[in-house]
Amino acid sequence: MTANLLILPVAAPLIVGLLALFFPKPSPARRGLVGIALGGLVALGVLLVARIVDDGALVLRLGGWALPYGIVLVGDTLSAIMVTLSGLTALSSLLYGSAERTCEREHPLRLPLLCFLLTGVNLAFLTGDLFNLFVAFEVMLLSSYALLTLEAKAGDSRQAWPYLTLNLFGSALFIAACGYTYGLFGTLNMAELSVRMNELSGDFRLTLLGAALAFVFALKAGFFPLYHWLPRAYPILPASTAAFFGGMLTKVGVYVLLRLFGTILPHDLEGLHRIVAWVGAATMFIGVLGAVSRQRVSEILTYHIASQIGYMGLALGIFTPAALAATILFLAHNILVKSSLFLVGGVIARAHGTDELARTGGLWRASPWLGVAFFVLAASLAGLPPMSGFWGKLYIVQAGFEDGRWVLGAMAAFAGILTLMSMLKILLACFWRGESEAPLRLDAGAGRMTLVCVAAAALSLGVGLAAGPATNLARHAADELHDRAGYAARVIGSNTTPHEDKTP
Amino acid sequence: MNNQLDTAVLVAVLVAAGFYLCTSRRLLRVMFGFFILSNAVNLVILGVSGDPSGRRAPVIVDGAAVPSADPLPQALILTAIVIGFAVAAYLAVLVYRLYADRKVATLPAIFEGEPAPDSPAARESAEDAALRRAQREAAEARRAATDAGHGEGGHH
Repeated sequence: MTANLLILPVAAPLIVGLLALFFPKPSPARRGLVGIALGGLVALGVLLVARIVDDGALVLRLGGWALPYGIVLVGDTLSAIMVTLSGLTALSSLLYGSAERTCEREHPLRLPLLCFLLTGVNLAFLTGDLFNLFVAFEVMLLSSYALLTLEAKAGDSRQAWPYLTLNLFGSALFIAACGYTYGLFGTLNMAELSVRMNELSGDFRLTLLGAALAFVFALKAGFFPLYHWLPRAYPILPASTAAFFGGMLTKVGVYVLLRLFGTILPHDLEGLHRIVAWVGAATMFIGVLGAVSRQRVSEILTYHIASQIGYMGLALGIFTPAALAATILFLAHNILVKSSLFLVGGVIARAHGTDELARTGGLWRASPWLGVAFFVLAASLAGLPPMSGFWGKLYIVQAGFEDGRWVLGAMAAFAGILTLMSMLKILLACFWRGESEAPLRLDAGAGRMTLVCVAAAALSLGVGLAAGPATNLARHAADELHDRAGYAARVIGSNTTPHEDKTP
Repeated sequence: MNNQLDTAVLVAVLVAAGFYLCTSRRLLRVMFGFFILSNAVNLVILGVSGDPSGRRAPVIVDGAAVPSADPLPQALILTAIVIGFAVAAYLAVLVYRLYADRKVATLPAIFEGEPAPDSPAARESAEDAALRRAQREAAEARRAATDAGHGEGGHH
């Protein structure tokens, strides 16, 4: 019975989004409806995490079809964590967006598209089928294309072009890879794939397939050298949408890479793991150098997305259980912190009318709470103890050293210093400097937006202070992810679960 | 042709043509390149369903087991076509919008003279643009309402 709950994170945003399309005029009631649904999703996510940690992964066969024929939804700990975080990010985006502008100024399509985006994201987290994953990605990408150009000004829509073309290319490769997978293994179910791939272990075709799939998701996550769409596309978004994009979208790619290497592909593809680790390290460095060189808050934050994706790739490539746990912890931390930083960046831009560092200043005096929120988030992103980012980075560096990857571990530690540097740049220019060149104007809307930022920062601080339970949860999720046989047994075993045979 | 060499050659030709078009500077050619590319990868899936000669459509008649084509890749292609169509629609609209913004439809012209991050053009926030758009739309709506009122007397 509980397994049926797995459909809700996919179905609920879809239904709410359609409802919002039927009532196209933005109104407080419409916002309230979406908000209640998103809040419910967060609560459901927490419930699912608690349930799955106790009882193991949940499997839902859609329509009751037996395994090789139907699509399954699989909720393990990692999926449930991600579903919770996606709901949380969407909720903060909604609250912030509501604080930012009145209903008259809200674009009527923004909320429906956000809901459809969430549908795709959640389906990507929950699906147990490779082709269904493609569908989930396309639902997500189509909504994101639309959101990207929805509120862009005339000169900016061109920045969607690199994002669109690269993703179209990735999607074409994804379909082809699905075709080859089906040709090689006769199934697209992830659990069955992981069993049948064992028989082909060591075959170069398997490596090739793994490389193609990894390339697709690395592209969608924004890895070096194909990340240049990222710093182009995200700064043209309004802050509340940018928070969801920056916090969530690229992380879906990382999640799928985790799923691909942890659960589907055999674990002996060391060459591929090494490539992922070094590509991750390169992304980390290029991203952080880009961030240090930028002079606008939104651009600095966007380059940091690439940098942090690099961290995750590096840790994933090390591929010890400890490194996987570190990746998951870092992933969760980064979703929260990155989306909140975009929210703070939105307040900065609103207060000054610009977010260029040369023209900002005086915010510490004008809005100390915003300063505190930014300080907490920036320290967390840079990895200062005891913030949540510290633990993630510590475990990544530790996992690198334990595995004898001295260079990678040292690079991860050094990139943290550069991150701190670029965050200090924002802190000094926006908050510490006494007065700004641009006129500083904080209205009631900015106050409400600050409130959302403070709540998000408090949440991130809470994760950092509760590092013990968070680490345990991440380790549990990593162990589950790493246990290919257990995953396959759980999913394939669901074919014979008695609960539905009891129907009269 | 039981190795489906024909399908493979067709896929190769289509992919080559699609890639060639995608490397063009003209937006329209890139668009058509992606259309061809998406059809090429659909053919890949059709190809993996195996040699169709001597097989029937996967419909069971009278419960008799006859060699039939694999239905799953066909379902996958159908899904991929529908999704590809939606993406194609978006792509076409984006190309049109890029053209409408600048009255040019080649990539160098569109990305040429990119405003520097600190230029006045970049400073104008998206929010202001949205506000102006809203005001314009409101004005148009008012005008339309008055026109309708003068014309044939409010039909709602």
